[in-house]
Amino acid sequence: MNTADNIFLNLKLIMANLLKTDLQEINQLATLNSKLRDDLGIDSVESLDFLASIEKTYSIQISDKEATKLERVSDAIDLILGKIKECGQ
Amino acid sequence: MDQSYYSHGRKQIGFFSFLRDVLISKVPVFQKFTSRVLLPYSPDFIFLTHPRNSEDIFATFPFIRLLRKFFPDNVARKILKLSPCYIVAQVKAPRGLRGYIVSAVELPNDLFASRELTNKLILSCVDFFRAICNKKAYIGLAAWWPIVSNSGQAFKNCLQKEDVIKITNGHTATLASIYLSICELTQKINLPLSNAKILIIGAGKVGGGLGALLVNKVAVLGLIDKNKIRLKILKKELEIKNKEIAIDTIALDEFTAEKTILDKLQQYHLAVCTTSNTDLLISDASQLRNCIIIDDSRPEAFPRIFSPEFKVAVLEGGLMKIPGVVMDSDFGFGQNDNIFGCLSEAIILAMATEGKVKPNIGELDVENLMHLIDFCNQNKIQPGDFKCAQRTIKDSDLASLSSLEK
Repeated sequence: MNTADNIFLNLKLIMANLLKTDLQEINQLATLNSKLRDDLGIDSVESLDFLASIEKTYSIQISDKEATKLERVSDAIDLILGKIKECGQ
Repeated sequence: MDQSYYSHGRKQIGFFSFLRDVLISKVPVFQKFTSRVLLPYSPDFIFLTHPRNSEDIFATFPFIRLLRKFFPDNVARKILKLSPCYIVAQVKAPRGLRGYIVSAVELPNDLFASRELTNKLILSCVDFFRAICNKKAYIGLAAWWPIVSNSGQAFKNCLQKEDVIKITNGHTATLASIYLSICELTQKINLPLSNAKILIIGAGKVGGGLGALLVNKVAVLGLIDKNKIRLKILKKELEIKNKEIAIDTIALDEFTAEKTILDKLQQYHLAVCTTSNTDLLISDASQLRNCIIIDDSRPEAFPRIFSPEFKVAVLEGGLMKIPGVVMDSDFGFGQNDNIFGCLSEAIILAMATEGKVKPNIGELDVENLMHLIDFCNQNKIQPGDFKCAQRTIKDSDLASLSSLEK
């Protein structure tokens, strides 16, 4: 079941993989309110890999316009939930 | 930087070559026929790159340069977009292997700005490669291609199960070439590697991988990046590998970046730049003193300078030397066997038929890196000559930098 909690956990796993660290470290850094760039270090280069990983995990497509609106972890969760709903997953 | 540095010896692409590549990409019914008839051979390897700036495009396509006199630059560039990419050079390699250097016409910023555009372009490039390859061929990704394709994953997603083309992101040979170059350079300047203070500028995939290779071998490691979190995590990861070593992390901010880098260069014997920038980090070569920099960034992050008087050398990074390789175009450091690490990865994969060295997609595989280094040792493949743009730096000149006090 793709709940907000499950998606948050998956996002943390994706971030841990991207930043080459463990979930424990990411748990200390990431809250729903964390800024992807400033708090989690997902800068413009890293965000390309971050978005590709989300698309692969959830079999969704994120447009450039949608990507530019992602500022916080909660924005990413909302976007994924919305996309899943659209696809009827 | 002098523009002639970029365009010196660059092979120019005529109108008929342009037309050939447009036909190959735009007329699917005749694709295989067109490529077999119009191309001299089916390649064993391809090196995919892109222009560093718009001047690169105008230097490569003279007829587009002519159009520039009558139309705005963007119109001329739109005409080039009739094909996703163009064959810009031919490469001969050992064992009768042959390949092409293929370039898209998008600039780094275009590739970076839109994932949608880039993903479409990747799909079109893969179709182009399939059209020109009648047998297995390795595609090495250069410059910004690994960054914008999730380390090659976006290309892999476009491949079929038994595809003739195999993608590799070039990280393995690039890292091997930088590591081997550091080992050789420290010898030439009479500095035991175990005493060396090495600064890595850019803590991404190649910078992080280099840190992991060096952490148990050098005295002091410095890491510079804009991304504080990445620095913190990389430092922690490296300290697990070696608790004794001093690791200095320096987070850059955009306002003081130049000064911070200039200051830090004074504290380290050798700096290696692996950043993915589009502009120079240091714009004025005369600011550089008392430092040796291996610059692997493409486009270049440091202006090229070699001056024994001021004890400064900015050397091309990531070069490999494969005996017998000949290119019919000069990309800035000659047409002989000194080639980009990522091109050498595609050639090595085509040479390494026993299958130990594998194409790399995604994260760097250390075991694969070791196999590649073994293969290089067995086949007399070495790190490239120490070059500062066109100029090969002699050992005696390098030795003149050996008295750098840090």
